[in-house]
Amino acid sequence: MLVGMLGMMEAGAYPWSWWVLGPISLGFLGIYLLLPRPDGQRTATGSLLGVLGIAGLMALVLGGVIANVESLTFCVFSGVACLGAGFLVTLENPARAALAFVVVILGVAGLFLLAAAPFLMGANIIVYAGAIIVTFLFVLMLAQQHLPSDADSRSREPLLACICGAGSVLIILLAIGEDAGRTESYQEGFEARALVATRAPVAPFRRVGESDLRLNQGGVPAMPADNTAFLGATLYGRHLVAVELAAVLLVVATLGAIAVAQRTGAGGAL
Amino acid sequence: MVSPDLPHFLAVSAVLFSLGLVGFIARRNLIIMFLSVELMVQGVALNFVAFARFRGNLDGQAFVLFLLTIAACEAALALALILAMYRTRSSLDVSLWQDLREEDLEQVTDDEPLPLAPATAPLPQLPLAGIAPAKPEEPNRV
Repeated sequence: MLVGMLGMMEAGAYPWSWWVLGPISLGFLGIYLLLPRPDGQRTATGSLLGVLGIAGLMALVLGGVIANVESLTFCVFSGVACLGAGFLVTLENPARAALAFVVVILGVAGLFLLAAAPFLMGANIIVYAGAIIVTFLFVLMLAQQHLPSDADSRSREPLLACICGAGSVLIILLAIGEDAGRTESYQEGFEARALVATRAPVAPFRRVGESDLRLNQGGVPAMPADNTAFLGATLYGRHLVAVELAAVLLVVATLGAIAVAQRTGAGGAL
Repeated sequence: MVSPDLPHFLAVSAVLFSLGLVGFIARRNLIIMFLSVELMVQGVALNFVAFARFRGNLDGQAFVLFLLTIAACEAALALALILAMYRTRSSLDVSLWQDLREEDLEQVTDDEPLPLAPATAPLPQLPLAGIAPAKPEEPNRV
């Protein structure tokens, strides 16, 4: 459904301006029809809109002039992430929604990899898909409900919610499109800045000499090469206090979770 | 499109963020609402990583690490709270908690009846004790 919007971008047509209205309204309708409601989801129509969006995406991508590996993987990962997000929002069964969130995580992790963040890709998968989702499923199994229930089979103001979401995405995309129209290419600016920035991310902890940088043929530092080392240097150099604060926060959150979840005497009967 | 540029990443994260927004507003299951918030967090994290990539420094990625930390704390606390709430009202429906609203807001009631539960397959009938149930003979073609 919302994938159709990606199709607009693949056409290489930013500033995409008001053309995004079409895919956004497709996605709006699809999500609105797919949201659970007591008289049954309009699965057929909503899925039809989704299929239309994907077909439009494929036509736009494959009809484009240049399709290199990077852009193709970007399309796949972003499509997977957006589809998973659509499923997460619309699936009636909460356990399935949690599994759809895993799909989103995997898609976003792929996008992280494309954006030169391999360490964060691993961390994201381990923390979210590994830890958080398991805890979620645990609580879901604990609070098992049979399916047509008030919690799962009803939506609160589906029309207003969808209008809100469509408005939000429209505003953001229009803002991005305007900005993208102003600047020529971010890639060039990145390559210019990367030369300066990766030369010495943090001086005190790790001296990064020229020999430490792996350069590609263009003489530009390859970003993913030393990602973990650079990230560690940044983290423990520039953000050391924040790291300590995060540790304190984790301890406090653990204590708080234990205190909140504790069963208090005769009051809480499960 | 030659290769994904900054606006493409921003657009994907905008889509993720807005879908999370829709899920948070529309869904009534506490856990799905929380998952929607996590979806919005993912959108924001993607923004940070993309900016880090195209600005050529790693502060955005460091920020995403802190975001992961906060998300872990948030998940622990929220699940503890959800568990406590489930114990009190024995349902995950967030509308059961609308008495927490301001007093002059009217309460929302559900008009439409829920659909009937889908018919499940009938339980198998056990034979009387002592009588072996008839087993279908398997043809032996050796």
